Amino acid sequence: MNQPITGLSGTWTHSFEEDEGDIQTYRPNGSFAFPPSRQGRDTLDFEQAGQVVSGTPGPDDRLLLSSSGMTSLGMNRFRIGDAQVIEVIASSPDVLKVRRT
Amino acid sequence: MMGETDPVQQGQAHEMPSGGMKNLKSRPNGSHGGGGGGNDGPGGFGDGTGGDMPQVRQCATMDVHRRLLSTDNEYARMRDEVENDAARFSLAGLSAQRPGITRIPVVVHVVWNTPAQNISDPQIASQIDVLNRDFRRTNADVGTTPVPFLPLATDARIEFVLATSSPSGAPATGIERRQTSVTDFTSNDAVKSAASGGMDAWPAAHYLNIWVCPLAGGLLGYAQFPGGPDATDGVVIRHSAFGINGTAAAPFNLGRTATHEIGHWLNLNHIWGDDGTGCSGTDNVSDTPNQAGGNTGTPAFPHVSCSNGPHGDMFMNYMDYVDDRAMVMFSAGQVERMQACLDGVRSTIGQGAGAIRPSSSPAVAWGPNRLDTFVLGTDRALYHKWFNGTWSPSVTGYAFLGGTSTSVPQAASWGPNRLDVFVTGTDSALYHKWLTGTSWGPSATGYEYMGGVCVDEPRIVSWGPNRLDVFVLGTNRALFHKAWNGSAWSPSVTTYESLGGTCMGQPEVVSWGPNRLDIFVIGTDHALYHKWWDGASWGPSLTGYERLGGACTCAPRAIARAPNRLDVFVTGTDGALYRKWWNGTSWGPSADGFERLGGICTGQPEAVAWGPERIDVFVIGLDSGLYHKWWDGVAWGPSLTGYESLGGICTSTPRCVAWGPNRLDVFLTGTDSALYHKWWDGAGWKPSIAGYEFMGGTVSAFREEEAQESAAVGMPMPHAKKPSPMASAS
Repeated sequence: MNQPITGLSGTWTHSFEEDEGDIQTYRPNGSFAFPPSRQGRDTLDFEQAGQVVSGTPGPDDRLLLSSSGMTSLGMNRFRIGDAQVIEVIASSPDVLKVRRT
Repeated sequence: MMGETDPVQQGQAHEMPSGGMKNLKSRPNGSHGGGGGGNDGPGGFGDGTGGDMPQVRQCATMDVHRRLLSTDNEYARMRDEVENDAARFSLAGLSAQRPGITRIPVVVHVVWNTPAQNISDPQIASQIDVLNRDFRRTNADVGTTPVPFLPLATDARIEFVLATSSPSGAPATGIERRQTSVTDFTSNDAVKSAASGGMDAWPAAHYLNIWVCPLAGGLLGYAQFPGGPDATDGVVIRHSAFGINGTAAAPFNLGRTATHEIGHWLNLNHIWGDDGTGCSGTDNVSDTPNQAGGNTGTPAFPHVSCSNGPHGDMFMNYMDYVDDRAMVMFSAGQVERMQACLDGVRSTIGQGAGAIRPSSSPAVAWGPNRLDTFVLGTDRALYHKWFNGTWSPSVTGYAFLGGTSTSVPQAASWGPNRLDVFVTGTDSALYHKWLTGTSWGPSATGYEYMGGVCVDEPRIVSWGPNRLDVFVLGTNRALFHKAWNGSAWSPSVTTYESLGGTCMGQPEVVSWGPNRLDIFVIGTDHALYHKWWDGASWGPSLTGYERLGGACTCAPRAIARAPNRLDVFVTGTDGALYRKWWNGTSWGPSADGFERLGGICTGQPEAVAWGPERIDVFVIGLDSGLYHKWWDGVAWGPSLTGYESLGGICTSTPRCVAWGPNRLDVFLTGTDSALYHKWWDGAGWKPSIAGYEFMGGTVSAFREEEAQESAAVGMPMPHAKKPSPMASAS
């Protein structure tokens, strides 16, 4: 759990049913069967070259995408854009757990 | 029984007017110049409803929405316009301009990857049924609305019907299917294009597009707000959240995902204002409580947030995020916002196929910016001219449709690209032809023989898609009826049902809703008589009529400007125009009385309604000029008995069509027997107040031949083509 994480990759969708306290659970797109939900799900798409595309359910239930730069702050912490920092609690091919600060 | 009641009486006989309808200042040909005259009262038109744009209400918006707006300037501009419309409605306290129920044609594109996702027709039908309950407030669970919110639960006056004709006019089921190699779609609109594994949209101006498909990430559905690109307009619904049977799965198996998404499509926002969990967002609706975030599941009442106690969130609203069984209502403010959308950016949807149907006429409109006119040539053949932005085959040209007719052509439309035209032949039988898309049935110049020996003109009305009701007078002057139900004529293609009576002049028929007909005729005592079909039986009886009094000197003209609202216009023995109306419960001004509207009219008046509180009436004066008056919901303009002079020397009954709010198109013939046109575009009369657009006709040829003709034929025009005998379908 405390191994340093050098990079993030893949496309992840918020599996909010599995959240524990302030720790958010993301599951990989395509291989995880998300249950239907009226409340939309955030997404995180980690791209090459330190970019991340964040998806947020919009006012018409469509995903609104915004692209931001991502920089590693060390200690499994990453800055996304200017305002947001996520701390990666766990990362495996099946699950990504983060805390937003 | 008609003609067996009291002698002619009309309590409202008045002196001849000395005011309007006497001046002659212009001719409907040549330069079309000259002004009108003889107006009584203020001359301005259109100063009632639908005037200036009031100030714009400022609304808080959410960051995510702003991001979207900033990405597309055109989208942002359109969204501003939509919000202006909504604000104008709300601020001005305007009532919706659409009369009654708006019936929206729907196309369902089923895009499936696995066979189970290829949902059944009954599952689709179940979804349409849900929409028709939820948007009419006839859902059984509306009664579960907490008492404080129940008075706000409102009928949105919108219904949905699977499209019965394709964009090209071909018969359609309103359901399209394809298998795709895409296992799961996302909200990136790939499902809306054949090139990316989906299916292309049908024209957004006339159809609500619903795509049903597998969606990734548990997404139930998404929408596009009004004002976006046509190619992606509509809603997308997960196959397992669509309808109430088949693959529909709890807790999203009551069809409410489509209700929610169509709410967005009609410009509704999420009820909490899309500001995350804050209290600063707004849904742009004033009667929904301020609310923090979206609710999920099945909350218990009350759920208080943002200091909105004691009643708390209106979480049972379709625009929250709760489970299907927990959402049961739209509020009055939301309905107002949806109706503003229908009057504004979505003004083209549901007009042609769902609006209240006027009686047949030689001029009809099946949609916004669409006009079809039918005339007889000197050869008595039928000719057609149409407008879809430009006139076809040309401004002064006509398309030849064959036949040898003895009546003014009567056209009706039950949907986009669909026209049904009826005439009587030289044998006095009824003949029919129909336009589907660009193709005429039974053939380009052929007609369907429909039997009968008809006196005067037939009248036709359509109360819904694929439905026609035809009324003719027999040689005994009784009223006869036949109907098309989508698959067959009843009682048969060549026979008729007798509805009794002894009628003078042609019948008038109007429909204010599905399975509803109101027929007006003049009896031998010159009184006005009424009968109706209520969906189950004829009233007051199969062959009986309700006597409405009066001493009428022309066939009646009737309009329905809203459900269960009727206005009937006739001329009296003094030549003046008279009106009586049905307000839903009784006849006004009295059971056998009429409201006198002045003037000295020749021929039958023309009346149209482009909104529930709007009537426009056109008459021909003694000088053969065209005169106009209007009801704006409050009073008659230019005055109770005054008229606006619109110039011209008219030789036919004026025919007026309103293809949308604040739009009028008037057609008539001039002394040269050519067709003339003028129109009101919301700002003024075009080409000028007394001017007319010349629409063809060869004056000398027509006059020579006209002298040889004996029977009265309305709106004739010459044409170089040879006459051809009426041909029945072979």
